[in-house]
Amino acid sequence: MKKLTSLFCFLALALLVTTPALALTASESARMKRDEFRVRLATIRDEKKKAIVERIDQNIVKINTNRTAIMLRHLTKIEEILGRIETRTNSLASSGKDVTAVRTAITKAREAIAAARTAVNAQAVKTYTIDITTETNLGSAVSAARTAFAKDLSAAHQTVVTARKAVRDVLKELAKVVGEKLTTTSED
Amino acid sequence: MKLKTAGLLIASSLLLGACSYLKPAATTTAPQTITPTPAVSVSPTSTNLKDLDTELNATIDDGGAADLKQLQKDAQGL
Repeated sequence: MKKLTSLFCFLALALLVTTPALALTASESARMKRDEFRVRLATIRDEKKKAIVERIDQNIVKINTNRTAIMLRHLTKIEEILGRIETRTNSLASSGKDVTAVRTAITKAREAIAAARTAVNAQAVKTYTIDITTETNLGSAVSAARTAFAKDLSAAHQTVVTARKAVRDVLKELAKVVGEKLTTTSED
Repeated sequence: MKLKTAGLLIASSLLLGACSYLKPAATTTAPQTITPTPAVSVSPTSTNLKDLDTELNATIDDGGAADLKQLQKDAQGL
């Protein structure tokens, strides 16, 4: 019985000690990684290389902030355009035109815009840390962070392209109802 | 004598200042080539199909491809 109590106490203590570590939030983990990056960056002896790594690290943050802000601005504009398309659709419907296909396309476009907004917002809060191990591996460490960032940013941008295409599909359906022809774009 | 020393000091300071002013830029450049959204000359409330299409096309951009390319270029010094 005494042994069992000791074991229970030990397990409880172990749980108490490990819980704070397990409860690390994503932001805390990211902050710790940043701190580690700072420490490792300071160990680089080649000042020129150190400056390049530091600059790339800062630019990844800047580019991510600026590009995701632009994407969100474009999504707002795309959504606003869709709103006006809907107004025109309603006006055509009230004059007796069949706008079923347009309304279906509008629903799809709204979903695409919502998905893009979610993806871009998620991208905006992402952080990328250059994993410095040795001075000789700086190139590959920077390349890994840069490649991961480029892949993620392109994926987020692609969702905006998809949303825009979905709105253009609505326009095409509306053009059929009205009997007008749209000019082709680079994304068609 | 003092005047000569002071003159020399001023001249060398000026020379140093000019040198630091003319110093070439750092090897890496800030890749902030953000393409502004093209200005669209249509009514912001128009429901005309062509206007809507023009406004929609104005939201097309490279998605940061130029910035990423610059980032890659900057990393070449490693």
